[in-house]
Amino acid sequence: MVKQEKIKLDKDSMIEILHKNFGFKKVEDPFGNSAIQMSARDAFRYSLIQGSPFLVDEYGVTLKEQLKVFYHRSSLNENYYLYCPGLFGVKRDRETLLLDEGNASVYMKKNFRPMFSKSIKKIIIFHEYDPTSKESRSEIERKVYEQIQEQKKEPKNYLLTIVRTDNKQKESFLEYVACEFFNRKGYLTETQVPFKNNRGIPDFAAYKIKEKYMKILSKHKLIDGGCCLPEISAAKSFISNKKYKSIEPATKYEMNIGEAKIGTPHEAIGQLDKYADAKISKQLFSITVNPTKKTTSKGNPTKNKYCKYGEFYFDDEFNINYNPITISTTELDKQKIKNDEKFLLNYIKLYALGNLPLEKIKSSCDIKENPKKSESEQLIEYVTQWDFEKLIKFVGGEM
Amino acid sequence: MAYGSDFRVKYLMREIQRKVTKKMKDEGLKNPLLLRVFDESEEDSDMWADGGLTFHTTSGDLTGASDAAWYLEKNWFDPHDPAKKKIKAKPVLVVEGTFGTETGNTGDAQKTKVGHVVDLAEKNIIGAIVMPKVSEYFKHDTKELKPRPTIVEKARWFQEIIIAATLRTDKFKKNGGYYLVIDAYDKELLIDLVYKLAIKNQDYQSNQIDEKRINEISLDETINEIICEMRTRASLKEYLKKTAKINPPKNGTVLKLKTRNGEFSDKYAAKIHSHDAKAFGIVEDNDNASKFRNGHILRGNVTDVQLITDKKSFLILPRMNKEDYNKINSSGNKKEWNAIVNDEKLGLLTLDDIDFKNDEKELKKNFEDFRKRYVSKDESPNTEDKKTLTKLCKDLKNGLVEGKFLLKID
Repeated sequence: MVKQEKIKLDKDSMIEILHKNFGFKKVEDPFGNSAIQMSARDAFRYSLIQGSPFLVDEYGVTLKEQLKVFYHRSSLNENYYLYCPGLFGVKRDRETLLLDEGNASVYMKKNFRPMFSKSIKKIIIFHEYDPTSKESRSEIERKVYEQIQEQKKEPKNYLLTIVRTDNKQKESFLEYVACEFFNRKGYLTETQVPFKNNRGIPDFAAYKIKEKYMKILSKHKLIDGGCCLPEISAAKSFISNKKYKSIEPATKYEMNIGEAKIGTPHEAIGQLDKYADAKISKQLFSITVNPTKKTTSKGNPTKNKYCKYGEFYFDDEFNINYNPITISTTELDKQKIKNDEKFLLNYIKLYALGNLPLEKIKSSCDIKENPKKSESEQLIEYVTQWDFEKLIKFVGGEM
Repeated sequence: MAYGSDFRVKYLMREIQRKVTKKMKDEGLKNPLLLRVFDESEEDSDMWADGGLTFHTTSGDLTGASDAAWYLEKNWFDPHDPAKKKIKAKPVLVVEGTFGTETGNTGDAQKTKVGHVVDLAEKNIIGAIVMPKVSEYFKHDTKELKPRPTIVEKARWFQEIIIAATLRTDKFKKNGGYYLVIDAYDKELLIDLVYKLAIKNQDYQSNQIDEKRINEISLDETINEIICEMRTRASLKEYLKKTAKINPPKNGTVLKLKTRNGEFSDKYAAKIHSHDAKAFGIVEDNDNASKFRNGHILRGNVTDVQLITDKKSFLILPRMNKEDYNKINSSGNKKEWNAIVNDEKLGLLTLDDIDFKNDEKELKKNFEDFRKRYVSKDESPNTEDKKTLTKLCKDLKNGLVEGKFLLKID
């Protein structure tokens, strides 16, 4: 048996993981260091999940957490929809709250066109940072921006991943790898997942929706395969005429939850137990750099007490290993899963609408000035009543 | 890793800095203000002089760690730092923000923010809480009278915070120190404030005195706009009227107290809270500590009373006795506790510090019984007990206001 070496998640291993598992090209950054090259669309996803900012200015622009729609999921909160400004913005007129231009790509594109430019590949710079130097993120971004300019390069074509020399703040990289892995298997994914009020927020979720819904989304050019849910709101910018190829079409809705830990899979158990309590996840798993140790320090096999959850990790060649464990159907709540499917379809509808200008959304959802009912409330009420196929067809026609 | 409100605040500050820098660049100017912001709150906790976002309180303890700060590359030292460590980073605007009201963190949960910025005005810095002036949160309609899928309630700035902030600002504004509360949904106002601060802090030539003065006035106008917006939310007169009411009491604030000598003293005010020692981390199982920790809120509450009344203000915790006090005092991590007990303008009193006179056997005993029931359990009072506790605290306030009970202070 080959002994699993312990991998450290550093700059080099991150580059190797992205290259080996997803085929991203290794290139040099403006300072002659190893870097990764991606298409604009892949970079959009990378920033969305990993959080790296596009260096469009001295102070970069990240997409992470900017495209939120809900704080919690209705299926776990007595069917209430808990709205969060993000994809759609909010502004106040005295006591009334109005929808505003948010962070949807239709508005991001106006201010940061290079982020969406398909003709220019983006390069991810991996900047090592020693936390004892006490530089803040904004200070690092500004310095790297200026250094790129000194090299006579265009900062806007770069994203900046700050890699701490200690082991902190690296979970979002693991979340990104899980997203990319599941997207390529045809799943819809998201991170910082809306869940149950005051019961924590899972780091990662991978969904399979019924094939008929995937086909509707692809027919109207909202998806061309698996993707992160917020990416649906940028379909207008990224989806081409590529034909949708179904991978393992689903006849049933499923949700799978992952918890990222820079430490051991064991550290994820407590949170996974909590998420398992909701009884809506088919698979729950840890996302870590290394797997649970298979042998003790004396070389004897360890007793694996925690085999109720799967493990997602890297082998010593940096390849992803995913060992799923499926939760028994008797431990799931069918009614809650049915409600969750309904929630997810409504969630997707809102992301689809994000492709349209706000005025179009307001007119099509019959949102009017109403001191007693806020515009976000009207939006949610209207969208939850709007048939999935009709809404997607409408958005597709307007894009 | 969980993101959320903090990340949004930090990103908003980055966006503001980016927009101000771009605007100035378009005008051929360089933004002299630099922004210090981290991704995670862990790094905020380092002291400002060590590259973080935490300052010394006026008593030499620690402020809460803020979310972001604009500064100039100029020499500065914290006047309340016992070591007076000099650094080349002079803070101009320090921000602590929250969108917690969107998830129903209404009421005095907002008070957690007070201890982050309240001490900055005295250092001639602008300290600002950034949170939505009005926001919506979606709550459960347990009676199901409203149709699903949504039921929306409005959350607003907590009035005590606003009154305390305006009074603090009045005291220190002549030296450039402010305690502001800014609407997080009013991005343009935030941009305007940072832009005008940046313009004011340009290097001016000797022949640009008039221009400098005009820019200073322009900054004052923006700050006044913020203060006016704050004043629309709360009035000191109304607050004092409400606080003086005892039949029934409207809040736990007591504006004058009888001391050991049996006389009412105008030197002191107090706020009664029903928390026990768990609020300061004394729990049976350390895993439960975060669930009960409420030191931030209590610090914010007693600080607000002090700022509003300008009297030495006590936090009265009648579910605690001297034994609990000593236990907390000798425990490890107690930043909020220290900020209360070491500040000469604040103090903390327990049940043992109250002279109940003839009600010793009734009210004091009821509080003691209550303490015993929960002191060794990592539990919050059940619904019935909560009602009882509210009643006991109201009786305590009435007794103090009417002068039936004395505080064992001089």
